[in-house]
Amino acid sequence: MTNSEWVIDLKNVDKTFVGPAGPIHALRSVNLQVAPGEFVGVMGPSGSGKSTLLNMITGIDRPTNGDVRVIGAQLNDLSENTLARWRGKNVGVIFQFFQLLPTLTIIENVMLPMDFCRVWKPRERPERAIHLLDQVGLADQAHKLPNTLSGGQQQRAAIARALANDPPLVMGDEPTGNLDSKAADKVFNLFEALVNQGKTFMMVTHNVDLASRVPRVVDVLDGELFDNGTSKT
Amino acid sequence: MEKSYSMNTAFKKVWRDLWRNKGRAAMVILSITVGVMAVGMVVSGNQLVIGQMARSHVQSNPAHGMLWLSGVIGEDTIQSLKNVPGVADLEGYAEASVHWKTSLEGEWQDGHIISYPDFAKIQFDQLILKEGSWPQADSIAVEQAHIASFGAPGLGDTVYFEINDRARPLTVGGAIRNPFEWPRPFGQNAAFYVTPDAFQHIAGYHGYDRLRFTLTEYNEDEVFHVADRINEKLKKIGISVGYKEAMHPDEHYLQEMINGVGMVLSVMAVGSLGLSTMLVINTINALIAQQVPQIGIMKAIGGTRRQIASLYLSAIFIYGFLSLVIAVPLGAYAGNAMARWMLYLLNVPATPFEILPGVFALQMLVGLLTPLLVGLYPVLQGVAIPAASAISQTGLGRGHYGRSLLDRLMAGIRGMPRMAALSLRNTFRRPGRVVLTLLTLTISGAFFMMVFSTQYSFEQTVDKIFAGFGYEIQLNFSQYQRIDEVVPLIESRPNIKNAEMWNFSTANAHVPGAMGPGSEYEVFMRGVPSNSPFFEPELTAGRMLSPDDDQALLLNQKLAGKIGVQVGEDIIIDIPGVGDTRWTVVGLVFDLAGRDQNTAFANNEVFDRVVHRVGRAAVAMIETTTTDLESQRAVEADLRTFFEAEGIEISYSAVASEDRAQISAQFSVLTQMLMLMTVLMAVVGSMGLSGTLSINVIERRREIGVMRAVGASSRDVGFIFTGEGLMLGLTSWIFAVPIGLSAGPVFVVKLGEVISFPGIYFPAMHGISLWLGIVVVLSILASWVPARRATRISVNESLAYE
Repeated sequence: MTNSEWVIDLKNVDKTFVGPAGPIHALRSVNLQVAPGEFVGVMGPSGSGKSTLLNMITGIDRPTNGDVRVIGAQLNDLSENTLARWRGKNVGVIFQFFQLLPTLTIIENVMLPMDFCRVWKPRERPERAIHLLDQVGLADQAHKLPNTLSGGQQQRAAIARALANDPPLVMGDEPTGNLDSKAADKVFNLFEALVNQGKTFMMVTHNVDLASRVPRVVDVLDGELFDNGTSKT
Repeated sequence: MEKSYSMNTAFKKVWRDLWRNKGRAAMVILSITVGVMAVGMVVSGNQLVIGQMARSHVQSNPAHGMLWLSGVIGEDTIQSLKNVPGVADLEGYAEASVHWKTSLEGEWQDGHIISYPDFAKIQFDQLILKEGSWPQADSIAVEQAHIASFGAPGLGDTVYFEINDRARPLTVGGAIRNPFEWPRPFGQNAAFYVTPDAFQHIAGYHGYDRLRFTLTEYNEDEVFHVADRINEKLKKIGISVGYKEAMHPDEHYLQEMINGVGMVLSVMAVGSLGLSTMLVINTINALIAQQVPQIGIMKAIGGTRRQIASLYLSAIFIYGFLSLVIAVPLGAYAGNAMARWMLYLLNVPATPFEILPGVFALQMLVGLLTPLLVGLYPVLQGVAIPAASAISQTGLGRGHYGRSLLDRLMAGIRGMPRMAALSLRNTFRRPGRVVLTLLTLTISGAFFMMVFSTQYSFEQTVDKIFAGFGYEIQLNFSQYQRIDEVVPLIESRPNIKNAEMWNFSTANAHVPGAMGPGSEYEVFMRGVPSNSPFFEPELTAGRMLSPDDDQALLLNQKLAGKIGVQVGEDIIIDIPGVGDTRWTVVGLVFDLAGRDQNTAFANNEVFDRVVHRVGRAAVAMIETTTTDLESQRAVEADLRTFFEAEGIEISYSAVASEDRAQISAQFSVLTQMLMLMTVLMAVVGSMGLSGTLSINVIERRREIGVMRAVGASSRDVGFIFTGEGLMLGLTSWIFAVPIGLSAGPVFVVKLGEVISFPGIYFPAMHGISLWLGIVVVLSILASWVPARRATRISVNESLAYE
C-alpha cells in the first residue's frame, strides 16, 4: 500500500505539553498506518496519550514534531479554518460525554455539521438527518432536546452527528465509556455496522471485552505506541 | 410530523442559548438599554427644548434690544425715539411693582403689573392670550404660568391690589403667556397685565419705562450703539437708560445656558453608556467563557472560526436589537418628559410627543454598533481557542488560579474565617472581570459623590454669601426716611434684634476714559453703614471697606470682570442726578444680588454725602431674634402693618431665607437632573455587580456542588456570594472616594462656568457616607439573586456533565 493510500499515516509524531511542572511528553515518535475499512482499537491507562493520539488524527491538536497525514491531507500544513472544514467533511468525531449542543434538538445537532460544511443542499439536510437517526434507532426522538434522552440514546445521536457529512473516517474517544454494558453493546454494534459499510473506524477504549471484538488493537503507554495486531485488510 | 428548517440550525442555537439564559440575556439587554435610553433621553430632551425655545422665540417676533429707563416717557418721546439713527422700530410698555392678594383677609404678596397700549397689537416679544380676553377696562389678565406657581388668581377670580393703602378688587378676565416671565423657581413673583388706565390707577403713573427696539439688521454692537444714542437723547429730558440687553433674533436669550446644561448632561449620558458598555464586555466575556466547550465541539464537527464568531456576534446583535425595542420608546418618553419640564420652567409652550428621527438613528447606531464593537474582541478571542483546549475545559482545577501574584497575595492572608477567606479569594479570582465591575461601580460612586458635592458646594456658597449680608428682613420704603427716626421705630417692634439703614441706587459704571458702545455697565450701588455688624461679604480679592475710606468701593467680581477693572484701579460711576463720580476699587466680592450680579458697595456715610442725602435712606436691613421662617414672616408682616399705620409706605419687603430658598430651588433644578443621571449610573453599576456574581455562580456550579458535597449549607453558599458582592462594593467605594473628591472641585468649577455661578468647592462628607450606605445595600441586593441561585444548586446537578 502506498503512502497516499493509507487513511491514517503518522510518522515520528511527538507531542509535548509544557505545564507548570515542566514538559510532559504525551506522544513519543509515534508511527501508525491505518488502511481504509480498518477497525482499530486504542487502549492504554489514563494519561498514556490515547486522547492526544486521537486529537492528532482528527486535527483537533497539532504535533510538536512529525507528520500527520489523514485521508490524503497533510494536516501539519492546514490552517485552523481549513482543518475545521476538512474535519467536518472527512472525520466524524464521537466523544465520551456525547457533547451534543444542549440547546439544539437531536435532529438539529445532526444537521449542524451539514450547515457548517454545506455538503448537502439545505432542503436535503432534514431528510438525511432523519435517515441517520433512523439508522441509530432514534428517528422517533428527533425533536427532543439531548438532556431528555438517556446516555445511550445521546451517544447514538452523537454517532448520527458524526456521520452527518458521510465521512470516510470515524474516530471515537471512549465512546462507550459513559454507558452501561447493555447500551455500550448496542453502540458497539453500530460501530461494527459502520465498518461493514466501509468506514474506517478508530476508537479509544478501556473496555477489554469490547477491545477483544476489535480486529486490530494498538496500545499506548507513556506516549509510546505498541501495535499488537494487524487488521483483516 | 412536519417541521420547518428554514432557519439555519446554527442560528437556532443562538436564539435558544439566549432564551435558555434569560436572566443573563435580560442583564445584557438592560445594560445596553440603560445606556441607549440615557443617550436618547438627553439628546432628544435637549433637542426638543432647544428647537422649541428657538421656534417660540422667533414666533414672538423678538426685539433686538431691551432698555429699562430711570423714568417715565410719553407717546411723543416714543415717536421721536423711532427716529434715532439705527432704530428700525421701537415700542414702549410699562412695568411696576405691586402688592396683591386673593382675599381681603389674606396677606399682601409681591407682584408686578405690565401694561401695553394695545395688547393685541404688541410688536415685539408678543404675548399670547391662552384663555379669556386681553386686559380691558373692567378686567385684567394674569400670567398663566403664575397661577399654579405663585398662587395667582385664575380666570373669573378676584384679585386685590394695594392702592393708596387700600385693597381694590379687580376681576381676572384672561390668562396670558409672556416669554419673559417664568414660574418658580426662576420667576420672582406673579405678573398681571393691565390697561394703561388701570396701570395708572394702580401704579400712579402713565407712560412707558421699558423699551424694546429692532435694528434693520441685528448686530450686537449696533444694539449698544443705538442704546447709547437713545440714552443721550433721553438725558436731555432727565431720563437715562439703566439696564440694557441685546437679544439675538434667532436664539432664545437662555439658549446659551441650556446649551451648557445640555452639554453637562450629554457627558453624563455618554458616561452611563460607557458604564453599560463595560457591563456588556463583562457579560460577553462570561458568555464566551461558558461556551468554550461548545465552541470546541463546533470546531470538532467542522465549524470554522468565522462561522462560530458570526453565531456569537448574531447573539450580540439580537441583544442590541432587543435593547432598542425598550430603549427607543423609553428614551423618547423620558426625553419628551424632560423637555416638557424644562420648557415649563422656561415658560415655553410644550411640544407634542415626538420621536426625533436623528435621535432614533443615533440610538440605533449606538444600540447596535456599540455592543458589537465591544463584543468583537471577546468573541474573536473565544473562537481562537484551539479545539483541543476548548474540549478539554471540564472539571475542577483546570484554571490558572494560584499562578498570579494577586492570587498568592490573597492566599497569603491568614487568620480569616474560612468562609470569609473563600469570599475574598473568589472575589479577585478573575482580575479582568473584577476590574470592569469595580470600574463601573467606582465611576458610579465617584459621579454620585461629585454631584452630591456640587449640590452641597452650591448650597454652601449661597449660605456663605447670605451669611455675609447677615440681615434677615429687608424693608424698602417708598420715600427716603430719616435714619435716626426710622431705626428706633423698627427696633421698638417685637422680636427685632437690631436694624440699620442702607442706601440703594442704580447707576452706570465705566473705566476712566472709556467711551462708546459697551463701555457702560449698569451697577447697583449700595451704601452700607461703615460699622455694620451684618456686612461681611465673601471677599475674592483685595480688602474690606474701612471706616476711614473715602470714595472706595467693593465691586462684584463678575461685574469687575465685565468692566475690566481690578483692585486698586479707579472707576467712574454716573449716578442719576449727581453725574460722574470717581471711586477706587479696594476689593472684589462674591454676591448673587442685583441683575446678573452687578452690585457695588461703599461706606454709606460717603455715599450719602455723594448723593446729597445725608442722614436719610430708604432701605432697612433688620436682624430678628427668631430663627424660623414662619416667625420671620410674622415679623415682616408686623413691620408692614406698623409702618402702614404710621403712614410710611413700604414698596418692597423680603425675608432673606425665602430668597435663599428660591436660589436653592434654582440650583436644585440642575442638580436633580444630574442626580437622575447618577441614579442611572448607580443602576448600571449594581446591574454590573449582579451580573458579575451571576456569572461567577454559573462558572462555579461544579465548585458549589463540591462544597455542598463536603457539607456546605445553603446559608454558607449564600454567605460566600453575598460576601463577594460586598467585597466588590466596598472596594469600589474605597476607590471612588479619592476620585470623587479630586474630581469634585473641577466639576464644580466647570459647571459653575456653564451656569455662570462660581461656586466654592465644599466636599460633601455626608455624600461619601451616604454612598457607602447605598453601595452596601446595592451590593447585598445585587448579590441576593445570584446567591439565591447558588443555594439552589444540587450536588447531583452541579457535578453532572452537560
